[in-house]
Amino acid sequence: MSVFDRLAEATLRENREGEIPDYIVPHLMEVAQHPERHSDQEWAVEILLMQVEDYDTYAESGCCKTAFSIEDIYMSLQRLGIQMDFWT
Amino acid sequence: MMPAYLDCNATTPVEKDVAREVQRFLVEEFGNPASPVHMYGTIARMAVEKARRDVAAVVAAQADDVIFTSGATESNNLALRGIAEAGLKSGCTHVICSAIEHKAVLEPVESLKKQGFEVTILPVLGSGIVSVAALTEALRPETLCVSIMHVNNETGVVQPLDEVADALADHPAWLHVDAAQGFGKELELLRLQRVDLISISAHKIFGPKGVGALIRRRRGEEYPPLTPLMLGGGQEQGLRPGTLAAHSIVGLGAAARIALRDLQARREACLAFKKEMLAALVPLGAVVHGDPQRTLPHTVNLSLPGVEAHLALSSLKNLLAFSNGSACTAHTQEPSHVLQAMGVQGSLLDEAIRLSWCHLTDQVDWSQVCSVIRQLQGGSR
Repeated sequence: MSVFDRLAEATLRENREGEIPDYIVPHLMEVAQHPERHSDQEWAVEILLMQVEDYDTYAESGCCKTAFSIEDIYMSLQRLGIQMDFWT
Repeated sequence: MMPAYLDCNATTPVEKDVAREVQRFLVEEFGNPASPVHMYGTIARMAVEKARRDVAAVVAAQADDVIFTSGATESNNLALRGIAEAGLKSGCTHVICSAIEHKAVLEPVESLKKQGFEVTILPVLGSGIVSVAALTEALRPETLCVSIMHVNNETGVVQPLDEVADALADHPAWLHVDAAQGFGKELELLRLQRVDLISISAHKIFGPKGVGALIRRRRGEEYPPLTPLMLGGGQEQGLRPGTLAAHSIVGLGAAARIALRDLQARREACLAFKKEMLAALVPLGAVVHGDPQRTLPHTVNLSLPGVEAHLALSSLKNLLAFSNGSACTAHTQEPSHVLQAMGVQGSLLDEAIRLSWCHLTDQVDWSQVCSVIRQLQGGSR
């Protein structure tokens, strides 16, 4: 299973069963469903996958950062060239 | 033409995919992971966290258990010297290690004597395996730490960490394992939850030199009580201050990930190479050191009767690049402390060489190698 397939699977699962918010799902799927656009960025997609799998709404609230916040995901999406109007 | 590289226990070649990742985080993604206030720093930080997870996955640990260091030598020092303060405070001032440990364990342990620690060095059997019976006898109520290596660097013999863990089942001593040679090559023993501290290096698993990790496991809620050896920053949970070498750490993570993915294929390639090599050398009277049933498939330590190691090294240098023991002591004329501990004596000791290869090793023309060895043996075989 490619990293793009795993990203799609994790996004849908974490949205359904976890805390990944609805509004970010289309942007994540935009990466997952277009491997041809990101074929030389698999390393960054691996990072994005890690963040989706370990996403926590309150990731920044404790003394230790053991999970990833929405801001981390924004940053990775931006690095992958995904445009998000609400993130400037 | 370069000779075939048979010194993979000294260091391995770097996998191309690993080198590509290192290059990316050296040149393009050069941010400081400790500055995650902008995209450069955040990307670097995320890549380091990914590497942390990839390293932890090999030994079934948690990402937070991984402390990045400069390599197994530093990790061994952090584990053994870093735990001393807790021992002095609690009155537990006895440390145990085996006679066949790498100098990177033996010397830190020796240094503890100056702080008032007592040290017990365990003997090994002729097979190259640490005596667990001797460990059981050596344990005392005040034993702070036991350090037993995973795989011996000279013989490739896998140590019985499962039996060591059983021997320590009812004892609170911390168990440290120098896994420089076995991490990513043998999985089960390092996944034992009784193993508290694991030292690893990237350059033994096709990653870059100068990076490694100390993996700490919680026992209940408690981590082994380590004190940092260096001060000057809060990185790596305060245990290893200093700017993280993100490019090297990414390389270690990639190497760990690939090691898990390709474990079986690498093992099969190494076994096939070993079979061919032994078929060529055994008829020349080669005496193999260490239990073959417990040796990883990429290492053989053997003596060629009638051919002293230094003569083999110089005579075969255009065909094979190998060593007469640990890379850290290969430049000395001292006989191997590992083989001596195993009871190897006389000419066999002087004739011992270590051959270690990998899935990337080129084909060897063994008939040519055997021809040179036969000449050295005076044509007697």
